[in-house]
Amino acid sequence: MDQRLARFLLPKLDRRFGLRLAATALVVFLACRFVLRPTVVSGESMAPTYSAHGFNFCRLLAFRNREPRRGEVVVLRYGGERWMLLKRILAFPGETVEFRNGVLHVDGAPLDEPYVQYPSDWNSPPKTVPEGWIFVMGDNRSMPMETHVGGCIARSRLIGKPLW
Amino acid sequence: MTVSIKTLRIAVAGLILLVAGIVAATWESEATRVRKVFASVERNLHKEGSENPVATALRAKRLTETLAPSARITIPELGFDVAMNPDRIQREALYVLGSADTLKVTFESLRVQVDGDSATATADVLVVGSSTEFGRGRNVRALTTRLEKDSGQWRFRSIRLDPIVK
Repeated sequence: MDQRLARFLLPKLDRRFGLRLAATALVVFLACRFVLRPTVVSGESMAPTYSAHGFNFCRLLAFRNREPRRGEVVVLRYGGERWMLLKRILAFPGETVEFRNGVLHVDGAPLDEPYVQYPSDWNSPPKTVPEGWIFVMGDNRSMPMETHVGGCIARSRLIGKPLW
Repeated sequence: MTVSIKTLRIAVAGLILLVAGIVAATWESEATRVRKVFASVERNLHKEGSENPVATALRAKRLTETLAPSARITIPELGFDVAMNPDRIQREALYVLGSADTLKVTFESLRVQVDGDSATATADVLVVGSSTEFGRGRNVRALTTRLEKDSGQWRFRSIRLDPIVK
């Protein structure tokens, strides 16, 4: 075996290797804590855009210098930092939202949502998004509305967006 | 016996460091004490299977001790807004602990703000449990609490649970 390859695969467990390992572990820890948080999608509420058990990273600095846009998929803190929601932002404070026969209306006008692929029959009364809150919903509206976690959520719970 | 000034200085510095270390290790901020109340609730609402009724009663008693007399519990989505006396609190705690086969309550993102003898604490509360009556379930709610310090003991004065997504 080539000597360099052998050294790569079977490194000498010396002080230098220990330092490298510690530095790598520190960089990975900091990156996962402050920049890219590994996440696993559970549930089908974002199908077909994201399917259950898919792996992704949450970009924690995505909204550091800009506000989120309508239609953008975002990650929200739900049960602390361990349990997060992957949803699409659909309305902002002051806007009124309602579902009419499965079509989301914002301020009375139907919203063009090409990412919603499954048929839906949702209906809901008009609701105004309060100040400091945003309106989010998943792409899969074929499930019963009561079992779908979506609606108004505090803006402060927005932590980032998926990497892909 | 003669002790040099240098040795004396080192001894005094060592003593100061030792005292500072003991104070740092044993000193507890009020926020830490409030967090301990939440930890106690987590411990007493943790159940992994059937248990001795005496142990359940003991847990219920410990939970009751974390609440001030006539603590107000508000759950707007259920239209529940009641000030409970200790007897009722204990009865409710016994019912919850007795009817659950397994139960785990966790407070996540706990934030505590202390202002004299009162404190406000917010958290996301995760409840995972199962019972023969209701089956398995998990739930998350936003928790807002007010606590007050009475005879050196922090107790919940009010508890409010709101849905995170409305």
